[in-house]
Amino acid sequence: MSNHVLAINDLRTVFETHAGPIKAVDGVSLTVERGQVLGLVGESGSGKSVTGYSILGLVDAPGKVADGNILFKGEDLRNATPQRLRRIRGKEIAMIFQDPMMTLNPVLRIDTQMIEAVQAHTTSVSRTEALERAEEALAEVGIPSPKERLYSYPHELSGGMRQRVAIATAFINKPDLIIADEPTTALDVTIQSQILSVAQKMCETHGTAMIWITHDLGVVAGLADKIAVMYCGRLVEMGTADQIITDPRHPYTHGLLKSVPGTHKEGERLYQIPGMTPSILALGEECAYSARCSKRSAKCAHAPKREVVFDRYLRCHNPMGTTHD
Amino acid sequence: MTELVKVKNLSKNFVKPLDLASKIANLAGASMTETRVRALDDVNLTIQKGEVVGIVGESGCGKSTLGRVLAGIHKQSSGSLEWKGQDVDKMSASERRAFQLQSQMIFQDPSSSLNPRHRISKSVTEAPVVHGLVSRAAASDYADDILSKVGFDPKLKSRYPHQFSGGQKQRIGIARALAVQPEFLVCDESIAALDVSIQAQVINLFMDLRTELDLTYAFISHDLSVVRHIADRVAVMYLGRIVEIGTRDEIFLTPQHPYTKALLAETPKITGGKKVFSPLSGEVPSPLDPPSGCHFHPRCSLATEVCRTQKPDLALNHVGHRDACLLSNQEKAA
Repeated sequence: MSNHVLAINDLRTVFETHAGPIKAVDGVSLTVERGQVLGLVGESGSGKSVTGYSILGLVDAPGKVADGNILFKGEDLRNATPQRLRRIRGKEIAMIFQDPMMTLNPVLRIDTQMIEAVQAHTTSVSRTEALERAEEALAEVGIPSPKERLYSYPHELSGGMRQRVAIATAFINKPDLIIADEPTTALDVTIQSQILSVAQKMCETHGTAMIWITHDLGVVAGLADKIAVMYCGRLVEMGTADQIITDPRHPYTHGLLKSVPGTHKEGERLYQIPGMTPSILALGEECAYSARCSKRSAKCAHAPKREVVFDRYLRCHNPMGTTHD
Repeated sequence: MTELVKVKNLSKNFVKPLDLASKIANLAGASMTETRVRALDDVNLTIQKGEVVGIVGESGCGKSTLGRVLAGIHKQSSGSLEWKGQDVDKMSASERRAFQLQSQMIFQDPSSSLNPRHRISKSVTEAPVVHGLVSRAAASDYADDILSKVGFDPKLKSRYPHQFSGGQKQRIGIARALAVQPEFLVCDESIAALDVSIQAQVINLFMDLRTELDLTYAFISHDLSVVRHIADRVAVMYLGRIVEIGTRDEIFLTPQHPYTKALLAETPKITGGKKVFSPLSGEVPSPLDPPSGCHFHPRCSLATEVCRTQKPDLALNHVGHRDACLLSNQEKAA
């Protein structure tokens, strides 16, 4: 238990709208351990990013974390004061966004921003020392001639380079946990591979735990130790990467994997999950996937509570029996 | 097999003209030159009727520009574009119009190809009515017909684009392209913005339409697994040039060009489990100032002196397809 860097229990984040409350995150429980990479997978609107934002208390009105605990090294972040949260963000938990320009200030040089990231949390560090650390951090993420790059403005760097700077900034205070929200989605394949390689190396050398939020199953299959699959705000299945990829038990995970081109013979028809993602507003007690599910039964009118079967977290009354189902 | 579209030694430059300040500076004796991007550099490609040609590459490699030239949207700077054996530049105005109807484009963002103030039925039938393919009176039935072809409920045709999801809008975009009865579709990253489960639906739709309507596709994508799934032949582009071209199996099973090999190795795969990423170093150089010789040499681990100076041509390799690399087979295998 004490090994968990982060343990989320029954997290609920709700957005109050004119049309009614939207349960963006509806009862998510998960744990991440030191040095572990958790891949949080889902389609758009599944609540994967809101889960990440909820951890850091970054959900703005009309949204709010309504229920559950977020235990970070044993401390419940839901009860943390704004001052305490402010000290945690960027120091103990850092975030990497899809667009590095969300992290970087366009009118400040890289050195100013990285020094600020260090000194904001440790005032005893001198400017020179902070600058040295920044240079080290840039070298570590593979930026060529880091010394000169420190004096660049963000617009002088390419997209891949900016994302590296964002990663270097995230790692500069040696955080215990990094939340990465689709950091490679906008990048080219070769640059994506560079970023993945950097993130992987950094987690290994510093023992940092990481939550990698993405819609790309291929990326998490190669990167993550553990995979959690979300659908309509609910966690439907979580297990080791191997379990989820080679032996999915939830019909949604199963369908999702079957609809990816890489797993078929060329030219063969791809599996189509019938129907569309339901509106979260209209969801009641039933399993969110039941309308599209081939294994639906009467029991599915009431979504199952968390169940652990097959050594994994699974929320399904009628799980897939074998991979060939 | 008959040739449908053919580009020969095609180049496309985009030139940013000098601004007033530079012009004045030039008068005063400075030598400012125009900024010139060579988006396409001596590209040769033939697409046979009925085939699906995948065009892959990273951003800035010129794949979208090639698509736009193929669809008759951009005019090439040099070289020629042939449609059914006829040079497009030498066509009469009416022949050219016919070519442009026959060759349609489907874009990445369906919202930007639909007028937000037009009902779906109007967006879909506007072009065929203007071009006299259907009468105004028959337009409504025609819309039903085309929309059901792409698996879209015709009952929803009097709604506006904002009332639909991304996947549905992409279907409308496809219906709109099909409404003028084209033979050739250029799909430019048409499924890149869609969720995985919706992607599968649209890929299946493309494959169904191909058999049903005898269509030919140029399928532009950065997603290699999608291209592998759908294409018969694949062209790999890097910085304005085709570096390797062959059948799907030739490219994916026996790639020869070092860039193709690297690209394939770095594409995330579902199968194979956790891996150590060993990326290609460096980034795609700016097309404003491409490297000399082989464009790929600054990132290629095998590059030799000759790669820095000599431009490689697409040549037949020992496995039977064409790639543009100056290294011998032994050197490439290393």
